Amino acid sequence: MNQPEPFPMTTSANHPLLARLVAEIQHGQKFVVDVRNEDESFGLDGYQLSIWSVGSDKPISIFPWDSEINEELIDLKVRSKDLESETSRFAIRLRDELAATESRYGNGFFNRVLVDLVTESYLDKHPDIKDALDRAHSRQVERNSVYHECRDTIAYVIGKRSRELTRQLDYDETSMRKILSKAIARYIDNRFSLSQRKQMGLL
Amino acid sequence: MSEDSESAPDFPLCDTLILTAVSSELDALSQQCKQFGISFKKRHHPFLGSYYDLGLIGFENVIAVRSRSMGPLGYGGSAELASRFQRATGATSVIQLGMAFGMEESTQQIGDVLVSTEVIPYDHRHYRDALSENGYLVNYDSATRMNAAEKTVNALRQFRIEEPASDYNVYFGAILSGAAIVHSSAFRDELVRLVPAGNHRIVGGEMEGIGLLGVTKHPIWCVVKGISDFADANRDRIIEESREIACRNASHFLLSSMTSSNPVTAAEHS
Repeated sequence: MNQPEPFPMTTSANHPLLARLVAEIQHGQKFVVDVRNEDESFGLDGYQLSIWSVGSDKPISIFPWDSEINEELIDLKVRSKDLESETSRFAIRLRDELAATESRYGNGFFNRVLVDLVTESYLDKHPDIKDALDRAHSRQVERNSVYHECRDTIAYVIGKRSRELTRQLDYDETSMRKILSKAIARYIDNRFSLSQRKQMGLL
Repeated sequence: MSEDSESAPDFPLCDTLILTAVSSELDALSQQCKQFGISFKKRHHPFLGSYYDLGLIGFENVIAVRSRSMGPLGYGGSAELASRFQRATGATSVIQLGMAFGMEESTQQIGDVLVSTEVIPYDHRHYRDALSENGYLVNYDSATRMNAAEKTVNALRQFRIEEPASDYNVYFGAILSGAAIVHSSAFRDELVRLVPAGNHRIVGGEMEGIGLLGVTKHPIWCVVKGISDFADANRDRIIEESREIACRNASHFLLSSMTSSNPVTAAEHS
């Protein structure tokens, strides 16, 4: 009698929901995701991810944000329904993917390097990011090897998202820049509570 | 406590927000700041009220604030205070500092420091009528363990590995948190017995951590507290002396870690 494999090598096809998508995609069906938050005051928290067959008016599945499933959906080249949803999706993805870097280098140090990186990159020219950064706080730190290591790691994580948008999701360069810069602006806004501080009259 | 009181800058920003609940916790923080050569300036903001500006510690710009009352509830309780100050200051890390009860008198000592890897909000429970001694049964299945900020726990753990010498022990684990004032070993033991099991052992309990759960869903908070008692009948006899030791050690551990915070070391060891 064959023993069951204790640690099976899994693919999307082993996941109950993703398996269905994979099968239907192979038959030509297209899907989109929608990343929405019922209450915008929750910032990047409380988002729901829904999966829709293109042309259908009802989602096939709705569930709380799940970074693992989202990653699989990106691999399956499933785009968001619209740019707003794609922006939210990548803002949350940036937060999730940068958490390890934040943990590695420490909260305050990470804050400084992040603001430096974005301020000094082409992203600063984007009105959404410029507006966010004008209201963010930072203090200079010594630009030693650790600083550059941290900065390069953040840049790598952001760069990986740009490749996901162009290579996996097939956005053109202009759309990628638009989505990613808005996503970074949303991530920074959320990280430093900028909109909330503005609403409270503190900015 | 010596304090300089100054008007607030227009934009009281910080990386780390430290919350305390009672005067002994704030006093201990103030005294430890003095020991470490850290400023502790009292400021007042028309919207935020009073807070303490600790300036730059390591790479963290730090503000401290004290609740109006013990526990998470009410205006100025830890829940409201943490939400208000986190949004206003843009803090990306929130730490509840002070004193807590320990779990195991055989292994833990007064003054040992607890760091939450998780908080167990034990107020999330369900009472049903039943033919029991009390006429009801209580179910704690909804008291789901909530993860603390990994970045803060990792930084404190790393510091402890590098600097193990101190006259107190540091326990990392799950902390029970709820609005009840617990001076009953029977209730303490009931909590341990009935809350959902998890991967992290329960190391203590306190009242304010539960308030931090409302700050953000994505955890940016951590509870750092010294053991002042064991939530038993002995508590009232020792508390006058033990609260000072507990608050001092918690503040000492946190500030030691922050002042030595060095991303070079952190990066090399992670």
